[in-house]
Amino acid sequence: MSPEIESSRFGEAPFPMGAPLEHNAPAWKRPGQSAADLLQKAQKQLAMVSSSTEGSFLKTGESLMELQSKARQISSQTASISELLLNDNDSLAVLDEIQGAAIQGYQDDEVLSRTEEVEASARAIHTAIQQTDPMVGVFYLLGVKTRVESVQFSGHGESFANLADAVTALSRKIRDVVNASEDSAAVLLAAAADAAMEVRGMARKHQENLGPLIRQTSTELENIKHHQTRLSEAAQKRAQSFDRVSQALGDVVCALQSHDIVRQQIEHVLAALNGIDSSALESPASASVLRIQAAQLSHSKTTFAKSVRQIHESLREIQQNIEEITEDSAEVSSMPGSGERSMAARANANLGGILAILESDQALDDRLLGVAAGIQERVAEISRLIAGLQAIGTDMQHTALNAIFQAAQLGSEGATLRTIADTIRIQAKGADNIYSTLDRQMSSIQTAASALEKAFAARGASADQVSSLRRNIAAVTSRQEQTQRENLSAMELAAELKRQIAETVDGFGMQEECSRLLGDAADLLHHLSGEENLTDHAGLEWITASYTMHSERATHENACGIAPVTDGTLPGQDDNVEFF
Amino acid sequence: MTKTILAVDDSATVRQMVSFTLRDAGYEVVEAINGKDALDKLDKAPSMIITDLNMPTLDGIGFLKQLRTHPNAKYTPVVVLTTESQAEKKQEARAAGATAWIVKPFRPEQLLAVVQKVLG
Repeated sequence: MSPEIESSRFGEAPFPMGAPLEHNAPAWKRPGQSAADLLQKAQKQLAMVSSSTEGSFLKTGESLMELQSKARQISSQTASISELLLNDNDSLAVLDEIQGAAIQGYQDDEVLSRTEEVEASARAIHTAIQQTDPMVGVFYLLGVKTRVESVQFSGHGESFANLADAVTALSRKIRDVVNASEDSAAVLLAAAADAAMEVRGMARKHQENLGPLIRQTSTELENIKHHQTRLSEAAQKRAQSFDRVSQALGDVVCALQSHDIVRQQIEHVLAALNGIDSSALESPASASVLRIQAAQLSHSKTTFAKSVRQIHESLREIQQNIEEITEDSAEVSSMPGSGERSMAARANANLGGILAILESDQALDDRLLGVAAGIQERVAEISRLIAGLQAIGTDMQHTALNAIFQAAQLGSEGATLRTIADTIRIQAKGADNIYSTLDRQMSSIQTAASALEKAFAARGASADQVSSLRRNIAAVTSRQEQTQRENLSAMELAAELKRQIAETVDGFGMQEECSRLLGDAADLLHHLSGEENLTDHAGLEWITASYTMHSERATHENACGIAPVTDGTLPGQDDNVEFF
Repeated sequence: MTKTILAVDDSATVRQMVSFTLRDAGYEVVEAINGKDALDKLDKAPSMIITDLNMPTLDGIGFLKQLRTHPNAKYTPVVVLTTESQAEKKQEARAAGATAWIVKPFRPEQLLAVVQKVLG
């Protein structure tokens, strides 16, 4: 096919012409031809048109319908992809939120704050317990003094010796329990301090490594969303273009049906011409038939010409849309981020980095969780010890009170003993106050340790969320790759459509030539019919019996002067269906 | 189960178009060139019939009337697909038992919409 014809294929210039007629001049202008010869020529021309139009539809109709179906499918699939991409963007927005929440849920701040709280409380407890050390010595001395004084009152016997024993025993208990508490508090403090140091180290590492990764991932997610939106818009546009191609192909198929209708009209004309006595072409009856068939052919030519115009326009529309598809698909292919290492893959890699950090911290978290549990146990132990001290203190106070009463009975002789006993009572009361304060501090550290345990446990959930995030990103990656494949398919299909339509157009046959032949045949029949108006309406029923279309009946009536001209319009596309 | 549609038209181009449109949509299509040919093919038990009116040997109206006495096709829905637009012809087809009426030219998707509406 020459470039000129190739470039004219889609409608700016006529379709490829078939073999030219033997002569270019109108047939009836050639001398020496009889009316019968001319009639025969007209019949041959009409038969050629009829055969050409049927042949072209059979050859091209199925091809066009296949193309239309393919274009419609692609349009539908591409529109679905566009929708999926937009849904992905909604998912990505959720993923971004999850990422933020997951990392926030990592609760470095919470863990650090609770750990330092535990450390501070442990230190306060240790200090407070150390401050009870002097009391041990005081109680021991008081015990000694009590024993010394009680000797003077040996006549009063057992009670004062027992008092001395009681004070001594209680002071020993206090010493033992205080020592145990001190040891336990020291261990508690060491554990809390170690944990706080490790948590501080981890928080610092996260800030240095995790923070940038999180920010980078967030940026990648944003870029992915932006890219997805562009892909979605491009897919939507492509879907619309394919839809227009499908519509235009449908218009071509419809237009070809009009050719088939014209073919049927030509067959009716041929049947009418065959009914004429060719030896009496000048008779009024023959003239009437010829005049009416000329009118029918003129009408058919108008219908045919309209359908040819429709085909031209539709093919132009198809070409335009195919070019749009090709350009848009090429643009999508060249979008940044369309390469092998897509943005989603990079985001996935970043999340992998985040997950690696979280997972490497998991061992430390597990150990610190154990430490927190150990702290809880240690706190419980110290609490028991302190409760024991409080009980001892209470006993000491009762013992001292008894001694005070007994010393009072001795009068002035018992003054020293009374003083000692009172001192014991006051010391015991003071110790009791310290233990109450310690008790409150134990509650506080217990709360902090419990919160610390919860904070550590929450970090495990963050790792799970990040894993889930990675899986979702992988799905996005897969969708992006699918979109790119679909885009390539669309480009290939557009090229294929272009090729197939070009081939199909070749099969349209000599449309322009057919149109000319119809016109020539109409002119020829009109010439043969003469210039007089039709008068012999009565003898024309045999023609009307062959009509199957309203347009044929209307043309007939107009040619006979009964009704106005029709414009060759076939029933509208929107009003040709009726349900009974 | 795939539904079968009987397409009756003396025009090869129309039969081609109807057949392609319906097969593409998943229907099985049996073709007949006129009313008599169509009656001979009723053993295919079509779920629906699409027929032209103006056909040689046995035209559409005649086919419809005989169809409604046939045990296999008494209630089979029939869509008339024709170039005719005369009200009298339409009434005649309706009286003979036609379900719907489509005037050519038609778009493939129009035909499909009618078929899907009739078959449900």
